[in-house]
Amino acid sequence: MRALTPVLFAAALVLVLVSALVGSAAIGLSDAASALAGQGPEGPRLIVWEIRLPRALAAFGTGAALGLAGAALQGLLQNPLAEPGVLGVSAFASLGAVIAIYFGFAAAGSFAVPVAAIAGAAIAVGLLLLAAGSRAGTVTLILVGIGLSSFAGALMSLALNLAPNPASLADLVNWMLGSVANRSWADLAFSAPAWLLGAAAIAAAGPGLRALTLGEEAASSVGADLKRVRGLVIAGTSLLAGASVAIAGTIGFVGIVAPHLVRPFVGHDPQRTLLPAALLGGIMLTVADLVIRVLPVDTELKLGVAAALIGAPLFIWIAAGRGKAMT
Amino acid sequence: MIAAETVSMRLGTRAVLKNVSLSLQPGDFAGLAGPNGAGKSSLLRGLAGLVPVESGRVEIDGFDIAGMTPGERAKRIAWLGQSRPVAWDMLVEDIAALGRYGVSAASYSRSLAPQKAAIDLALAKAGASDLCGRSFKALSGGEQARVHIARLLASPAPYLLLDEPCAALDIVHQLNLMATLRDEAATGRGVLIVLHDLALIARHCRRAILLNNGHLVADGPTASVLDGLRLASIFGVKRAPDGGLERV
Repeated sequence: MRALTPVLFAAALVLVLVSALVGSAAIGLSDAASALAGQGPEGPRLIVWEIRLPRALAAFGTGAALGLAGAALQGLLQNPLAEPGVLGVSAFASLGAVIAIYFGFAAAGSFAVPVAAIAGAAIAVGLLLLAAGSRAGTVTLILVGIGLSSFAGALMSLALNLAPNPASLADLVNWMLGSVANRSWADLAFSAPAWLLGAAAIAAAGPGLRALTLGEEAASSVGADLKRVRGLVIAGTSLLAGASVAIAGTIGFVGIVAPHLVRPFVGHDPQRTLLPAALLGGIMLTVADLVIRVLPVDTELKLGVAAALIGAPLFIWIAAGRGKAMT
Repeated sequence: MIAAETVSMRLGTRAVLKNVSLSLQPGDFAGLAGPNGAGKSSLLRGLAGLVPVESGRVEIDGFDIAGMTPGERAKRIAWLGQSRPVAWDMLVEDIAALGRYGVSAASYSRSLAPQKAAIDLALAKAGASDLCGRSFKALSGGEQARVHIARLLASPAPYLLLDEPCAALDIVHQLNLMATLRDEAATGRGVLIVLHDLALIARHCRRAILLNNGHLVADGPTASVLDGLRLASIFGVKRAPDGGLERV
């Protein structure tokens, strides 16, 4: 199905634009459209350009980064249940961000939070490969991931307790549930380069990920340089997941669900899964964010909660289906 | 030429190969046999450069394999392991195309005509042409084995190392494989194949190598290597009156 990627591209473009046109402020569709085109009164233009569009792009970018990171980790570990959220990578990235914020490193510059989040993600991927080994079975991998997530959660609580500035539970909740509300162009300016760099690293690892279909020994025997592939995926997923956490907090399950849904359309090829998984991940979070913005409730639902409400049941469905296929 | 010089290997704490020396020349078609745990698979891994040797060295055309990159090794040696995991339900032709990864990393549908021709030829030699277009995991065990053999044959490498490729194959496909490998050897490729079926080795391989308990115990023309005394002492079998083998 070669049409998949163009269709997803078109859908992504349309949804980001729709997302910029719709919101809680009472602006008519045609007024919002002319504001997006840079015309009309200043109020709507500010809302569309400075509030809605950065938010829509942050949602899309985060979803795309998580979808791509999930597809890459799944290819590297040859396991369809691998994903930054499930494996504790996002939790460690949050830990890095929290430490940067509450211990004053953030004062060094706004780049400190993304950098700390990326470093946290890299530590988690490293610990994961160290503890589970790169050819670990599904059970080992998931259990190590649960351990890393819990550990990061505990360290985050500890960090907030020890923090010199009084920190509230609400901050912790914000980091752990994830949201793209009130994100600005400045936030995007720090995350977008990390996303692009991470995507480039993953793209370079693509052919190696396809070879890894045969397992590590056979992949090496046909000429895949596994050290290089591993290095690229560790660097790439750290940049993608770290920058996503820095801008949106922890958002789970996109990285599992998006690759799983596109895989049948690309012949289950791990390399050809990458781009459509990124696009679908972006689409999923753009839609989820659109839905929570237009829901008529007093307190806006968190994006991470919306993602988990849809993603967690799908994750269980995928895991259960895999169990059946294996017996 | 692949040459192993006094190679010793260890799996965990167990010594699996002890001072093994042998060489594989272009045109060789050698059968490697030995009881379970003799070190056959370890020897193949060592020759393919997939596992470092503990002592001794493995050379290909005069170069130490330990100093080669995976890409350089793949141009010279193709290896088919005993366990053949396939993580994703890819198309048959895409699995076969991975055999040429060292030449072109593209999937089958995106490969150029000469690459496609080489993959098609390998699929035909392995008797897997009719499996094209199908998903790998929907195939039977024997069909999957044929796709793996096609992947091996698609490689441009002059040396082929196969670890029990006949295990899941029916008798016709076993005989087809042996005929194909004999043809490959006739074109100048060096073939080393691990087999448990001594009759297949006796019938098809010009050269036989016996491993027992990590030691190389015999290497030479098949008839002289697989003589009655050795079969009795190593495998605990003897020729039965009907021409088959029975326990001593």
